[in-house]
Amino acid sequence: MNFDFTGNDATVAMSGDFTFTDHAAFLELMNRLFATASVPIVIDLAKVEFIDSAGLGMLLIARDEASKASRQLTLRGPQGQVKRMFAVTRFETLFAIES
Amino acid sequence: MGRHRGDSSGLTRWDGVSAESLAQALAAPAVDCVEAGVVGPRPGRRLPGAHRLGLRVTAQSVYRHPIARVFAGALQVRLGLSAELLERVHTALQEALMNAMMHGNLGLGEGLRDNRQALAASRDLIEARFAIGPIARSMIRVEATWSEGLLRVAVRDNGDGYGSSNLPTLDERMEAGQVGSGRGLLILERLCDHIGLHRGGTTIALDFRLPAGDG
Repeated sequence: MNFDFTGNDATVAMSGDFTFTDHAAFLELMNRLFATASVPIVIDLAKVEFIDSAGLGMLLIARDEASKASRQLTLRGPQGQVKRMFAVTRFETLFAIES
Repeated sequence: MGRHRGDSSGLTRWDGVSAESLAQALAAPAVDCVEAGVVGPRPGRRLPGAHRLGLRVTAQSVYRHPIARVFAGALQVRLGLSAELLERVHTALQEALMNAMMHGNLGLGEGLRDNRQALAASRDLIEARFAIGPIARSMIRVEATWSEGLLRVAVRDNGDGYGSSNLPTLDERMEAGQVGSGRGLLILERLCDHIGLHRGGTTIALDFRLPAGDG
């Protein structure tokens, strides 16, 4: 998994596969996201090609961290397999998801 | 070059170096592929051309290489799977391999990644397990068999097993706020046409119906 921050460091675009081997990279990503001021957080998933349950779990950890920090977290643009995994696990009930 | 053409039984060897060398080792007419250095039994003699594909890899390689993607790709070449079925096989195999590696071979429990602190600790814990040679090189087996109408992909770990009847449902886990690493087995139930646990829970068999003409 790769990621790129844009603008104010509260928006990040992920790409590639997001799986259980990516926990170190995702921690780095979260540390930077939550180091920003209290602005809404956006994780752009449009270029993520594959996600597994561990990747989904890491997004849920980010959601919990956002909740603790009273920050709004939005997932943007899931496509293909990622979108279908969201449907399987009913992520739309747990996150704000933008098309 | 990771591929070593084996004897007429279709046995090949993977060097454990890369996804590319694994794809070469799994290319037809391979029937069984064994990673160099893996600790565990070798495949028995099989008839070449059988409707099966086997892979024996180390737990460490399951962690470090996209085994599920490459293995599903090797099946796609043999069976001409649709994009939809290829995706389900790839995703389900990824879940089964992760469960086998984490809970079976490494013996790590549920909840390892349920929060930020646990996630931060998990890498050190996993690397500590892999520092123990016999654990790092312990075997995980993948075996696909197919016949008219059915593809079965079985994953066998090196652990003590688990029973799906004791696991809460996805609904129960979400209601309880338990949303971490135990989700994999529950996702399998949604992606596969049938799943079965065998050998005391150390083997999970993932079944997929094949459309007419496949297999």
